[in-house]
Amino acid sequence: MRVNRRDFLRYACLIVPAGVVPLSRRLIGATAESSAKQKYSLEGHKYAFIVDSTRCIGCGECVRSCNMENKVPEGFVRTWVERYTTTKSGKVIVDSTYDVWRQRKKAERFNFEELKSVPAADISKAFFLPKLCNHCANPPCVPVCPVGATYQSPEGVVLTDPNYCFGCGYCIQACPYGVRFKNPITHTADKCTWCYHRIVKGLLPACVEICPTGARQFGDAAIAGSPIAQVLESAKLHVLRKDFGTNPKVYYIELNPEVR
Amino acid sequence: MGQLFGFVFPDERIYWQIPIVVYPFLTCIATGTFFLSTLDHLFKNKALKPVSNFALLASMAFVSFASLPLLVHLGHPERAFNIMFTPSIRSAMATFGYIYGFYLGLVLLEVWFVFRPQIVEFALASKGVKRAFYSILTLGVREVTPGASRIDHGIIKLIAFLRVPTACVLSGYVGLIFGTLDAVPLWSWRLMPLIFLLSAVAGGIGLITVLYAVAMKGKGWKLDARCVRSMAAYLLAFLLLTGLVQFINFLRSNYGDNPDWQFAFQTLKSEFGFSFIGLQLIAGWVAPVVLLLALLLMKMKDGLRSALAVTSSILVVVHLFTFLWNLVIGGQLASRTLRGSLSFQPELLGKEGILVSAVIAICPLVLLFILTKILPPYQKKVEAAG
Repeated sequence: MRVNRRDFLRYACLIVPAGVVPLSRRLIGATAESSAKQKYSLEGHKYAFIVDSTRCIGCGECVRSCNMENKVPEGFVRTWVERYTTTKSGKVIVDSTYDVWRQRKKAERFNFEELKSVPAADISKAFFLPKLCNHCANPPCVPVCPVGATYQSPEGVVLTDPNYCFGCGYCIQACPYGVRFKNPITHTADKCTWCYHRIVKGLLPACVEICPTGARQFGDAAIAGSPIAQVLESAKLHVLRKDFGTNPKVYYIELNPEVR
Repeated sequence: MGQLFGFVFPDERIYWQIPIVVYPFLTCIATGTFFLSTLDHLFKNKALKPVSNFALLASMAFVSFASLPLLVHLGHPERAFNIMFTPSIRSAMATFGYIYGFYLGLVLLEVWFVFRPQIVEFALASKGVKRAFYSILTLGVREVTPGASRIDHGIIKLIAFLRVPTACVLSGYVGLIFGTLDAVPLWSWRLMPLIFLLSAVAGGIGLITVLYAVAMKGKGWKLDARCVRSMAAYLLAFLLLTGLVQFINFLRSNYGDNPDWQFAFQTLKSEFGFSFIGLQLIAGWVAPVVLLLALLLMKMKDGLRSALAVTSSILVVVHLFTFLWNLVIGGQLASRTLRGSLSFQPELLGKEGILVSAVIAICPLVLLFILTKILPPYQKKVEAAG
């Protein structure tokens, strides 16, 4: 086949970009990633998680996205949402997205259904409350680990090394918030990591990313003027089970006394 | 998992199951049986001479299997030695490997020194495979002269002396594993090691009394009345101390402002009412205290006294097991939400089920039987009495 100059230029215009563009994208991507890796420092962070229960609508998307992102085994969760319903007689009824899973089995969505046991007219107050690992500054789960598999990262995130944990469950017993579980697949302790694999890349935890109402907020309070720093400075915040002295880093805007 | 009542957190389960009941049970029995042997070997309590060597073998049998339930429970038993290679010294559990290993070593040494004359005698008197077996056990040392015996006794005393604090640390340490966990209200008490130590001694004496009676029955020998009475007295003393410390713990928790404890205790009573009130308190403590008081204070025939001692000892062993059952399993029943509870339905065949745990609990008895065949622990004086 003979190729004249016009055809050569035409083919060149098609072939060269087809090869160069993906290559250059990979090169640019790799450079960006490596520069992100270079930029990320383990020191100097003060991560915090804010839960604004007044904004939570109980859609359960946070639970779903967490389960997908972290491949959480069926029947367990790294985060959940609780629903508190107070009747006019003062009775408090609590259920959670786990109950949604138990009712539906193999649930793909974790949104609550209408509470049938209480007529709407009898309800005086109701709200949703997301829960997750508090990544305590003084975590009771860390010192009890006999082999040091549970530890605090330099940024203060409480993590468990599944390749070193031998699954004694001591950390699970030590957690006053009940956020740890024994993973039936890895046979090691498991819990929320604030999506550590994402935050070191500058991304948000999956549950924060997906939350449609901004009930879950995450950020680095060490960055002056950041939204999270502003909330920490200005809002009146609460933590769960303050009496344990664990100094949680998950803060709640509005925390009703019936919540434990 | 079992049924749920009320509202519990999604990931709450009974994570520590029957093996974690069997683990402290074996450890406590190993410590308690050791106590009896020490009274003779170290403090020269001659009344306990008929059971002291038997108690030593029992201690060896039980401590040999004490770590097995833990290995069964671990998610990754192949990583168990990480606890010795990279222990986190802030963890109450981290030094277990060292304490356990040290205690086991001391027991093995003491057994060898105590039974050395017999081992040498068997090595010299027997033939064939038996001779070879006992020759190996002599470790090449066949000297049993009076001078060598004196040295042996000195070493036995030294080992027994070292074993006293080690045994206290071993059983108390198991209590510490539970006592340092503030998140579980029924476990959280810094004096938990003392409860474990006292319960261990009571349980150990109880089991030795029962096994001694069974062994004597098997041989057709009579029980040594003085020995039985002495064991009964120690049993009563430690049972009363155990009850006293547990009662103090109850008072401290019940009248303190601790809603978590109140909730957990109510849950224990409602879910485990029979094993807590029926078995642990009434059958396991009140009944043996009454029986022991009767056999120690009232005049009666030796046969009846022995029967009462054995009955009360069985009940004390029941007390130890139900105490651990109610503490370990019962302590996990109350949800951290304080709004619900979990129920425990043990599985029969699973890794942490009844069958595996029962086999583990029986293993020390099988080993003890074998050990008594290899190293007969009973004194000839007792034989003559029979």
